[in-house]
Amino acid sequence: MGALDFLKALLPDIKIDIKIDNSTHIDNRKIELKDSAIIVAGQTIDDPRTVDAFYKRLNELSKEESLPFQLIHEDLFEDFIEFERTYNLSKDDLKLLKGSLPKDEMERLLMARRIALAYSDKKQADLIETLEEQLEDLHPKYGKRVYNLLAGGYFDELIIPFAKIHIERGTPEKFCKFYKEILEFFPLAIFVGNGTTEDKLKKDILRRLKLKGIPFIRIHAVGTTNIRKVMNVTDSVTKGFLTDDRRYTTTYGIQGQVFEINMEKIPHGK
Amino acid sequence: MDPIIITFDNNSRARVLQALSLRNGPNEELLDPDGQILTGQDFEPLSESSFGGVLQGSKIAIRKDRHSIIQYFVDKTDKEI
Repeated sequence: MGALDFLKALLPDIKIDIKIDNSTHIDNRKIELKDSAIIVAGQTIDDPRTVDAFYKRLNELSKEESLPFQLIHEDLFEDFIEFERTYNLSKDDLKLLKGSLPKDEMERLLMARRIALAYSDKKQADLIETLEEQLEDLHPKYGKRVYNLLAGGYFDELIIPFAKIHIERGTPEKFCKFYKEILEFFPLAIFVGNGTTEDKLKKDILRRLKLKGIPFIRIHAVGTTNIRKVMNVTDSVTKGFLTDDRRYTTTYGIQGQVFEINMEKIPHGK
Repeated sequence: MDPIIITFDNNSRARVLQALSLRNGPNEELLDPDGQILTGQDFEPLSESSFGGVLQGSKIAIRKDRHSIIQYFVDKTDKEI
């Protein structure tokens, strides 16, 4: 039901005679209360009888369990529409992760997805900086890390498959622990995706090997091609280090790997 | 289809508040019909200028800021899916 029909249904005793202007783009879900008028389908209704009837109806509806529409200040409209779009696009992931991750993690994820959506839309370029600042303000420690994981494709390639495994096994708390470790040790983790070259992987590992005081480096890869990249590169760069190569299989039968380079070097002679 | 969205501006806000039976208290906070101070999702008092609206499926008023919208959708994840 569009906004005009909705308004007519709200006020059945009032004749609302509006001709829809097809030449202008109209948001079919929006009714605006502006000054002392109502704007719907691109047309302004300022007849006092209709406007009074509307507010009287709003008063009646406010006494019910909840309102049958969203009622928001006009300044929030754009944000509402975009976050609604983000929410609708992310429903599958959110459905999977809710119950395994606490609310603040879900909030970080929704905000990160919103930023990703803004990057994909040229018209929203001006908004990106504001959204990123807000993510950092509200979640200074992990906000940016969640976004980087998302932007790097690691949610789809690694985190979601891991979530599916543990949720199906009835061990969501293990997934939660895994996810928190990923965030905690993000600077120490390297994620190998389809776009990662062996050259880049080698550079990333060497850069981290120079960091002082880190306990380990963990390389995450999903898919045999990506695992092969890890094995090709780590062969040469990990000489003299203790390593641990853990493999797993995702729900869809895809091979996964967590390759750990322990920063404690192999003692001389062993 | 997603729900209808009714927006209000600063000039129509007073009439919206009146229709929702909300009024100004002595310290500029909004009061509900029972005289209780209206709070947002953050449990902090709302004033007329910080009143952001009421979202569908909830009788909780929201603050006029982006974070309120984000919190609404995170809560929606919990309730709906």
